[in-house]
Amino acid sequence: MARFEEITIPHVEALYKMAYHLAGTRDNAEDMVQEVYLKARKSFHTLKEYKKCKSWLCSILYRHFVDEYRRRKPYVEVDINNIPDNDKPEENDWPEHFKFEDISRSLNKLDPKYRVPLVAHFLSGESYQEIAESLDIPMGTVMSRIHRAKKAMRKELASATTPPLKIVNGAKNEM
Amino acid sequence: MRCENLKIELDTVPSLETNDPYFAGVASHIQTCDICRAKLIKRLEAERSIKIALDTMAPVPETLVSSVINNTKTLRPVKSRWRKWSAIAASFLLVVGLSASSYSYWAHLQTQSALKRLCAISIKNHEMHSEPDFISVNAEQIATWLSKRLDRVVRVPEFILASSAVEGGRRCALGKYAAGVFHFEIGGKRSTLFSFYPQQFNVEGAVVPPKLDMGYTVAVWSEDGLGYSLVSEAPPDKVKALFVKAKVI
Repeated sequence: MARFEEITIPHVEALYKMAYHLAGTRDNAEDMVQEVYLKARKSFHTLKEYKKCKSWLCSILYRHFVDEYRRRKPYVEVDINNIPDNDKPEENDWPEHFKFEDISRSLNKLDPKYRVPLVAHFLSGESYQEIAESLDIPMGTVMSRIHRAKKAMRKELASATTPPLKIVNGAKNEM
Repeated sequence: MRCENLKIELDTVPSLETNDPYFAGVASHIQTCDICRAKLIKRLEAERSIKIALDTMAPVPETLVSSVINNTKTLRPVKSRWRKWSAIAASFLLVVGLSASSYSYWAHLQTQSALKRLCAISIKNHEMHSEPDFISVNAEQIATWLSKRLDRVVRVPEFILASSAVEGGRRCALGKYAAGVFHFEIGGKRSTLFSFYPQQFNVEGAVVPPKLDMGYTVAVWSEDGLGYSLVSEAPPDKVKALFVKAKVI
């Protein structure tokens, strides 16, 4: 038991942040983290290399989220497959200004297939190869999904109607 | 390479100074294409801001760590079913193996002890009784007489037939049981053969080839469901020769 805590508890915060951006609410994120740790406790004997603990926990989180999503389907999805791969400026460049809640909203509108690799890319600190291993998909697919997710997010942010905030190094400066 | 062909790579390259071979094409392209380089710098800056924003938007509840620890503490680790069953099977096989070998060793010790005791009481009886109760040189007659005295079948063993120097027979108490006795000679040396049921002395299937014990040659064997113990004053090699002749062992 002590070994399990020693190895896994240092990753609680990182997991919670990812869970928050996957699930969209604090309560759901907390539930998800609890579920992930219960699953991890049950299958801790399958973790062969302790140094890969974070990736292992992330993969449990991703699978749990996708399973829960399939069960509940509470989100409005943006059909990424219908976004043409053209050179519209709003789809290839991040807008200059956007609000915190717009980031959340645009993330939550993504299909889990695209949201999971994008959140993993932004928050887990894992390389593309590690994300590919966690999700059990090829690295090229991970990159392609992240690219498409970013395009959809950029489009969503560009069309956001809320009054903009400029983000400079994480600080909010009202315009 | 044209910028359009590197759209995905330009949108996913993690930094300007990446040395990942996967992004080698992008790395060399941005050395020559100022537009793509400027766009990439802008993208990386924007994404860094988004990462920071995402990180700060999700403050971790203070009680999360303690509640996770409490929840997982109440849960016992589950080992894989394969491990569990293989451990049970291995334990079972180990117990069976140990039990079988322990029982086998214990049975061996019991038989050895029974043989030793049988040889001892046979020698004692041989020393105390040198004269037969029924005198005859015909082994079949002695066997018939013993059958009547003991109220059970006493057969003439092949060994006696091979010796051809029978003197007589008697009934005796061998330990707690009654036994038939043949008196005969091997090479002119007094010999006594006891006939009994092997299960009475716990020596079923056990064989003691002719050997020297307490100054006598002794042997134990079974034949047609009856047990025999031999005590002879003849040397072991002469008894062995007779054993070979009678095909006893």
